[in-house]
Amino acid sequence: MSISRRGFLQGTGVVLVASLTAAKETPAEGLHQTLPARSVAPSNQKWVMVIDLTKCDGCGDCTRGCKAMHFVPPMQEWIRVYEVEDNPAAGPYFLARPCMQCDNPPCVRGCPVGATFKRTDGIVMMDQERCIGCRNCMAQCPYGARSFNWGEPPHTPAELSQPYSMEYNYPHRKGVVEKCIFCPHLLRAGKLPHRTRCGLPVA
Amino acid sequence: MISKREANLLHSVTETTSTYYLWIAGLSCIVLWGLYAYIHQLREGLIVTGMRDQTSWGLYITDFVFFIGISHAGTLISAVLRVTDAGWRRPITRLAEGITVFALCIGGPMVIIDMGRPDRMLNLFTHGRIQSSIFWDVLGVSTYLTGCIIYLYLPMIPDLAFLAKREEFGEKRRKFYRALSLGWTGSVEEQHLLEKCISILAVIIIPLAISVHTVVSWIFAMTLRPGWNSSIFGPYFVVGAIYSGAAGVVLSMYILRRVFHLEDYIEPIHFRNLGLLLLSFCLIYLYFNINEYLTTGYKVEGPEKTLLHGLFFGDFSTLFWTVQSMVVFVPLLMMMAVLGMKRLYRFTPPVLALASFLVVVGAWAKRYLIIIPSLSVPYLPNARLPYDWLHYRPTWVEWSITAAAVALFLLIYMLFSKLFPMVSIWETREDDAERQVESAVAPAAQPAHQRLGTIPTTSIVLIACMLFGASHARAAEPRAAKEPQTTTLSIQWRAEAASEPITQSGGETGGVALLDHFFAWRPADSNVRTQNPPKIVVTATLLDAKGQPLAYQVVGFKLKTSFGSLDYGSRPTNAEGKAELRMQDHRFGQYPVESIYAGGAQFAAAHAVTSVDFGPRPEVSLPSVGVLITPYPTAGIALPFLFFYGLMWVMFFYVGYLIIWRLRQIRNAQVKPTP
Repeated sequence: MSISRRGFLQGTGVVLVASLTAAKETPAEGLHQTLPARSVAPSNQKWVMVIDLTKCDGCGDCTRGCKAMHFVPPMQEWIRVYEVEDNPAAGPYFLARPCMQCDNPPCVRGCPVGATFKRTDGIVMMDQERCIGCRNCMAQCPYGARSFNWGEPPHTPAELSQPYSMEYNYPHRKGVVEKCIFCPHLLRAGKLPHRTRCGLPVA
Repeated sequence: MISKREANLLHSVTETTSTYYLWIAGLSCIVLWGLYAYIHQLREGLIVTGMRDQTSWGLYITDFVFFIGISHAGTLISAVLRVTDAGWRRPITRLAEGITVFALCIGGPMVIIDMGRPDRMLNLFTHGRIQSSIFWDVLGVSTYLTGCIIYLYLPMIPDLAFLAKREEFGEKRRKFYRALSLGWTGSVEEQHLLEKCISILAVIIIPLAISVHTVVSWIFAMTLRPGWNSSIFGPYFVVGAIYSGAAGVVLSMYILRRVFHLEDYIEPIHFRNLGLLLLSFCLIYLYFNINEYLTTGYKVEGPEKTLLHGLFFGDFSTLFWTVQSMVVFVPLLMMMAVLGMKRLYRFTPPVLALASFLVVVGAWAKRYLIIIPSLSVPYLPNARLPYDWLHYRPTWVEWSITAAAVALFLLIYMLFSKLFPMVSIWETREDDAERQVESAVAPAAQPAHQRLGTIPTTSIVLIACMLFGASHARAAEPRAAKEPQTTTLSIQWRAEAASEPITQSGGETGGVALLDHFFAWRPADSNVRTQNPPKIVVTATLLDAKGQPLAYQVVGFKLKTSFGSLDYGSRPTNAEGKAELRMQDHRFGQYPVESIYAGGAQFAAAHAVTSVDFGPRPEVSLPSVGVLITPYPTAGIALPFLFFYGLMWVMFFYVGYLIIWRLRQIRNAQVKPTP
């Protein structure tokens, strides 16, 4: 059997046209129907957290509350309080920075395996069982809201007592990226994220 | 019978000196040490490196970019020279193509070494997202590596057939050559077919090489980091890669010429021609450097200011200026002197080799300077972490693995040079016939890629707030304290009919929505509402003790949610004592609305609560605002990559078909008539 160059080019052309047609025929709604189950939030709320910076005194209770709740490994702060000085004459102010749960998150765009994804209620989730540790999301995040488990994180019995869940992101493990995830397990139970109950004024 | 020239070329394959074994042993030790370091890193995690949360990429990514850059040389130079049919290319193509293949073999896995969970690498294939810049690299580098291996192998086939007939080698080794040569007999038809395959590959490998380094630069350019968020990064990286690659070729030419005594093949003319190429690349690279730093330096503002300060005068300044002079200024002067001044012509090879050495080492450091300083100046600088978490300093593990990578590259290159002749025998045979001097300078490859620049729509919204404070007329004389009159506040609500259907869908329309669908993806069927929410009118009536309406009083409204109360501000009462609050919120279910009259000296405070029904809750659906990044490929991102790299793979298969199937057919046609 011999394939002439002409036949080869024709064949290639047919395949290209066919695949383009197929792509065009795919209905746009089809994408919606097949949205993976993990992306669909349990409620149709869209979550937003507003922090009143005029009331923030930089006490760091939110950070401690979050650390206790999620057993956050040392050197990591999922919510971090920065002392920011935009204007030397005006003096510094405190800026509490959880994950901003961006509407158009660069980290989600950059993840090569879909380990971090946007849920329909607006939360940017993180699946530590899929993360390959390439740290592209950390390079992408303009807020520096992501941290990496560089070594094996120290464990506590309380942390290990539960099986891993994407909704509370522990037990922690080596070589994956971690981030603030808006406490989806508390939202599911009808409660607000843990750190908001730690004295930080939330409007 | 072979000529003296060919016998000389064969020496490099047949004779092995003790120095060679010494080198092999030394390099193997370095590689083994690097392997030990990697095993240590696998056991302990990346904590053994100097990378931390702020500087999350380090030497490994530097090595990756460097090796991919070096790899360009080869193929691009040999392909461009082949396409333009520059006769002087013949002795140097193979050593250039070798550099390409081996540099890619080293550079590609550097990303795996950098990964926190290399054990989950298969996720890239099971859950890969073509929208990710990392995935483009996987696609690009693997395609490029395949193409380069074919491109290295094809021109070697006649030489392999030639080697298979040599008596110098043992039976096993000849069998190996024979198997690889695919039964090449060297007839005219076969040669035509081979030339055809090589020229097809030479043509497609040029855009492929350019695309690969563009894609490498996009790992950085697709982020929002200062210094990386630049539309010039693609061409900048491509030029840097070709420049360092060309320098690599010159360097290896010089070394191979010395080691294998190839003075008959690699002549000063080759150094001169390549030197001219190198000089023009150097100038282009200088241009790109000026372009990169001047555009940010001119409007020095924001985080770029910190970055540029660090590079020019701060922490990185020593390295920065050393590297700039190593990569651009010093080699430029050296090359200009050697290539331009007749008196210095004879020093061309050694001086060019020295310049190339500077360029290659400098290119590595330049990659370091592109990656580390940008990561060191985040938008939100953190001060509370310890010093070594904020300042990157590579550890022995990273240095060992980097050294091992270089050693492994040299090792493979050396082993390759013992297995195959580094100068193409059959091509230089043709060269004997037409020994003409061409000083053609191959046209510099034009980076054809243009990034769709993100247009930051920086708009400043000024909100002017006017505050009307109730003016308290000061009485001339203090009034006698009087009990304020009691007031009653009643509250009603009604829903106005839902207004006309919304003609626009969603928040953004037209071009913006299309762009979202094209590059990201918003679900077509999200809860984009076909109707505006109903207008809810809450009316509070304020009466005094006698039942007379109170006009011009302030009534506040609050809506209570499970998370707290939402203040809607206050409204004045009219002549009938009525204050109206109109709401058109995307709100569902029942909510208590409270109206409050604060009272004053004359009238007592009052408040009233009613439960307002905002209508039934809609079905669970996707949010209508904000871009929901799709888990699925979108046309705008996926199609260019799939089309381009798909085309490359189609061409590879076509070449494979030609060289395996057609070659056999041609040979069968030759054999049949004779018996």
